Amino acid sequence: MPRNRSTRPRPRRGSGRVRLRRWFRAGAWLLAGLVLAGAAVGAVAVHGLDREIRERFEGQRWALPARVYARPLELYAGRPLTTDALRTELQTLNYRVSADGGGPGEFRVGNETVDLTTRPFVFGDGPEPARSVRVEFDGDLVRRVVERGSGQAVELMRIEPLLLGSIYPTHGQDRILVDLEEVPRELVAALLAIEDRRFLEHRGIDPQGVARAAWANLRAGRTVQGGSTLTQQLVKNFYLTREQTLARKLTEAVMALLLEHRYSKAEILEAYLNEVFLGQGGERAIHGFGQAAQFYYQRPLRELRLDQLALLVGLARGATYYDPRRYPERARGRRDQVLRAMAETGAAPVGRVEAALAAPLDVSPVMPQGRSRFPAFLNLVRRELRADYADADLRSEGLRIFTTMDPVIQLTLEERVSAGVERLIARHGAALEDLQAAAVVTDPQAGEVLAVVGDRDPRYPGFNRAVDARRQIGSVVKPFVYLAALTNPGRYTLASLLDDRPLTLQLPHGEPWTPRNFDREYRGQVTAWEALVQSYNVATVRLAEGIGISQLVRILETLGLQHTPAPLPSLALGALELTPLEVAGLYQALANGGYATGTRAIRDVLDADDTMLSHYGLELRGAVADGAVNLLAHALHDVTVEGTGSRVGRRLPDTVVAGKTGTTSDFRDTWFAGFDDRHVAVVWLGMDDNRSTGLTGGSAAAPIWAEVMAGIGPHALALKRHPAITYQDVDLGSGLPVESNRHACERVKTLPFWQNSIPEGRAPCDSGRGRDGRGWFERIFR
Amino acid sequence: MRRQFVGSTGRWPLRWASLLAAVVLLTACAAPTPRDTGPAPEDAVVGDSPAASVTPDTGGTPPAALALAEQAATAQRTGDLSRAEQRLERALRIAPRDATLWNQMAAVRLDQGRYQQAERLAERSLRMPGGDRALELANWRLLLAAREALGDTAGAARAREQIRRLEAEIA
Repeated sequence: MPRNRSTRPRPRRGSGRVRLRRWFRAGAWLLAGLVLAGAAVGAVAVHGLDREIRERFEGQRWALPARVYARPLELYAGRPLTTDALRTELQTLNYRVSADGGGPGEFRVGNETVDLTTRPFVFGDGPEPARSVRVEFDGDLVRRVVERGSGQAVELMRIEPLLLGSIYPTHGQDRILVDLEEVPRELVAALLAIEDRRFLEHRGIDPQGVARAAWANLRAGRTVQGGSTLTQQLVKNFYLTREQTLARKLTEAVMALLLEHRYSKAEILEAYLNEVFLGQGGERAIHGFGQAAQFYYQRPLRELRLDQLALLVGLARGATYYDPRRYPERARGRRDQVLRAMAETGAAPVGRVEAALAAPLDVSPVMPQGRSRFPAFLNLVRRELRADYADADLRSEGLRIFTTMDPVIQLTLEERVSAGVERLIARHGAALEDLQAAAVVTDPQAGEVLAVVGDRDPRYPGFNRAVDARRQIGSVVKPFVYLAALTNPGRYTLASLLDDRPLTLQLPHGEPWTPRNFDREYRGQVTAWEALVQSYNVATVRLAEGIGISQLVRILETLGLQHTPAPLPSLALGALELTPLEVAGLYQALANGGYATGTRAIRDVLDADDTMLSHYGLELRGAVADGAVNLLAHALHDVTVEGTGSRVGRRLPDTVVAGKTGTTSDFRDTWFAGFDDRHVAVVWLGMDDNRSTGLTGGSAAAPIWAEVMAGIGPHALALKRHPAITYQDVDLGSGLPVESNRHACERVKTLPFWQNSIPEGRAPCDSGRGRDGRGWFERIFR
Repeated sequence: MRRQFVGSTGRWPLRWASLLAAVVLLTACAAPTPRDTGPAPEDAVVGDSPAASVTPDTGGTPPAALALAEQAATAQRTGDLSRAEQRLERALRIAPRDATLWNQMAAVRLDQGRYQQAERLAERSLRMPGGDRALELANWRLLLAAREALGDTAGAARAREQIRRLEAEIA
């Protein structure tokens, strides 16, 4: 084509040449037009790709699962804690035993000491630094906590909390985001050495790299290196489907160039480190090196050794093919390839590489399941979250949820409940094969739920009986009948006599109802104390009739019952269906000076930037008089010593605890609900189809409850510290004081009285009048 | 050694200063190994008449809880009520039997404008064994403020009566 037409002589002759030239010119114009049109279309396409890149790269790049944490263990001088409990906590956190316990996530147990080194963690109320400390024990108490470097006492510290589970995005991708600055340099060095040596020089695509990879593959006779740059790989993962077409290759190249044009190498590298697929655990896809470190080594990325980093880098090529749990040899070969590439490029000194080559594969043998180890507790947490958060936000916003669960108590509860059920089945055989169980432990002060078991197999993520199974509560309701009475000390005391003779009531709809005692015996006049401690039904119904069933309903509502039960006399015997968690809620008031607190499993919800979204704090709800509660607690303690729950007292002879048995008609449900100074615990046993179990609360649920408390390390109740309570020896036959002649009376019990409510007069046996003087005192004391 | 208590707060800056000073002093000379928290036979406390006791029941409160209470007091003074709340919740988990902590929590709730909670928490503190007259007085002052805010004139009058009685007794 002529460059400069003006200097060239014009052709004069030959119309054929002219025609040719015209054709030629027209063709040129057409071509130019086509090129322009193509460029325009291309520009639009590129613009579209550019926009796609920016949309994905800016703003939130990934849907992040919500993380649910247990309560952190607080360490301070004076804390009740055993070395065993601390060891359990640390093992649950995947801490490793080491020679000095000096590295992060390491510990060492000595004689009455535990050395440990924590990791830094950000809580709702601020960051907690990493610490290396020695915890010194004095029996079951922490004597002091000492910083190992300086020898200074640590007043208060928290260990990072256990991750209970995650609420995953619907596509199942799990990742822990890492910042480039916190990524070990050796990881980046390894990645560049094996995947993209010229990453820092090229502009998204690397012809030189393609040639080098081709040569290397040719020499090896198989694919050992890839020609795509990290940028291309990121584009592939980030924006494109898996199809292998030329058009896709072209799009990939264009996008790689655009990505490099728009963003810095650091940004691209960081996105790659968080995006790349590195494994599959069940339905959970492991993306990014942060999550992969946890998935393969159960440690944070920054704590991994060179050989471990090299393995993760090797997996980027094909996490399924090189899966170190399924194909350890293949994975090791790949790891060594990465290490040798590092030596080759000088990314790591030869000595270090050689040491790493000698290291075993060392991947944690158990694949962490995406499913939580604690399905029942997590189920409760999700239920509470649903009140304030949309499911989509829980699955994508990377929220951090701090719960009230105590892992040591949770594990104790699980173990003791399962073992208890196994024992019962072993003893009673096939009839109990389908026996089910549920249990909860709460902290009554603030209503915090510490542990939940919803199935006799605590790992089974099915029906959560602790929260969902509404069952008749039977005699577990009786304390509230007596509490309603005792709030009126002018009229009722524990020494009040109740009539335990046969009774038939007309129900509102006309049917007669005849309550019977468990053993079908009737005992005439009994004290309220004895009726409660021995769980007599007829006397309790008479008492409820005396105070009015509506009073019982009112007190149950005050103490947190959510729905109003029908005010029928049978309510006094537990014709009321509640879940174990609801029963725990009611009993909390008995353990908490009469204050209801409700139950809750969540303390804080934080967003991905550690801003507090919700705080669920201490709240006192309804209250009943603490004097009455104290009287009741005395009687419930006696239940565990000389009443229907005496199996508890035999298991915990040196600890003051309180509780009540429950057994419903035909032995369908067996319960034990009770408390010590710091915990409320409820155990339920029964069949899902409501068949008879043949068990009673006292024989089946109470021993399990006692085992649970023994495992937790019970805190004795200090019942005798109430200022308005006085004590008096009482003759149980007459309910009257015994002053001097204790031996003359058949059955004498020291009972507590509130607000100077000790009955006047003296027991007939005490005054030497014999035991037939009932007439006149019955007139006075019902 | 005595700890100070919290009356209705906003109006009592001096009270706060003294609280802080007392807590600092107390933590400085706190015994290293409080042993009251462990299981003990209940007979150990029989016979005492706690109502007559004058020293507040802080023997079982570990220094960690006192330190948290001090941080809470600082936060409350600077108006960071949610921080104060969280510190006190931690303190109460450590020492739920410390009546002073419940009183302090009531004061935070009052500042938060959660008057019913303030009232219940102050009552809770009042009900606990081991408090002394100064703590009692502080709780009645909180109750007075909460009840006035709730428009409970009869309850406020009762609180005023108790305050007069206690002030006379202390004087």
